[in-house]
Amino acid sequence: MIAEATDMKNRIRVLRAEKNWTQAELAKRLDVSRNTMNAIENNRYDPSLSLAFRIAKLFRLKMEDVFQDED
Amino acid sequence: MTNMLCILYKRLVMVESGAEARAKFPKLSRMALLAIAAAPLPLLLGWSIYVRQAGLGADAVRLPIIVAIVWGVTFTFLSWRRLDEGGREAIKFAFCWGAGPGMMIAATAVLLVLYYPQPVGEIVKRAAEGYAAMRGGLPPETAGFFVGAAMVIGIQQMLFVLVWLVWWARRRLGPQ
Repeated sequence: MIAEATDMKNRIRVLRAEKNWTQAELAKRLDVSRNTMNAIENNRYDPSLSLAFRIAKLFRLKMEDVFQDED
Repeated sequence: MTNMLCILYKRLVMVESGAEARAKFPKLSRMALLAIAAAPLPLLLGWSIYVRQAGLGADAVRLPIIVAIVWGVTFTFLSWRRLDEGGREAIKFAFCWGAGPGMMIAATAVLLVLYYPQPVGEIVKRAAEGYAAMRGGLPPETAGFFVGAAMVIGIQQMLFVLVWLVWWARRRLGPQ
């Protein structure tokens, strides 16, 4: 299978839907490309710690409320 | 000196995220980056035609090479700073698993061609002869060197692009 899966799951898609933001809009707010945002949202790329913090901060949540370990 | 280089490298390349870099430097659009990439090409082409017509020496030929190297480094720097972390990861991965092994494969291929000239050696020889004829009186050894170098760089670049595409495909394709 070609698609990569990471060890971490996130709730970004749900949180983004709650805010009514498009993926491009969220990517712009975080200053990353839509490609990167899409990969993170689909659990195919683990963001760096600093980006993960920026994501949590943007949604005004704690890190563990956005990202969960797979186990 | 090494310390200074390390500090410079950290300050300019590694530590700052794309977001921080973009906050400091004006954001370059994709088109602007392409324009910067293409800008020196007509200048270099014009210079090489002038050098040939005026019959200038080796120093005049070296000048565009130096310009090309300086421009290449500047362009790489600008492109790197423009990238976000996903883009940077893809490039690091492609360098490690594409360009690096590509260089080794190409170098091995060059050695094989040198020691076992058939059948690839014949193709390289013909390409070198064609290039020598095109450049008008270029010594065959020099033409062979250029063709060999182009092959090594070509293989390296092909593998780099292939691995880069695979990295992104694994993150963008398939069921979501």
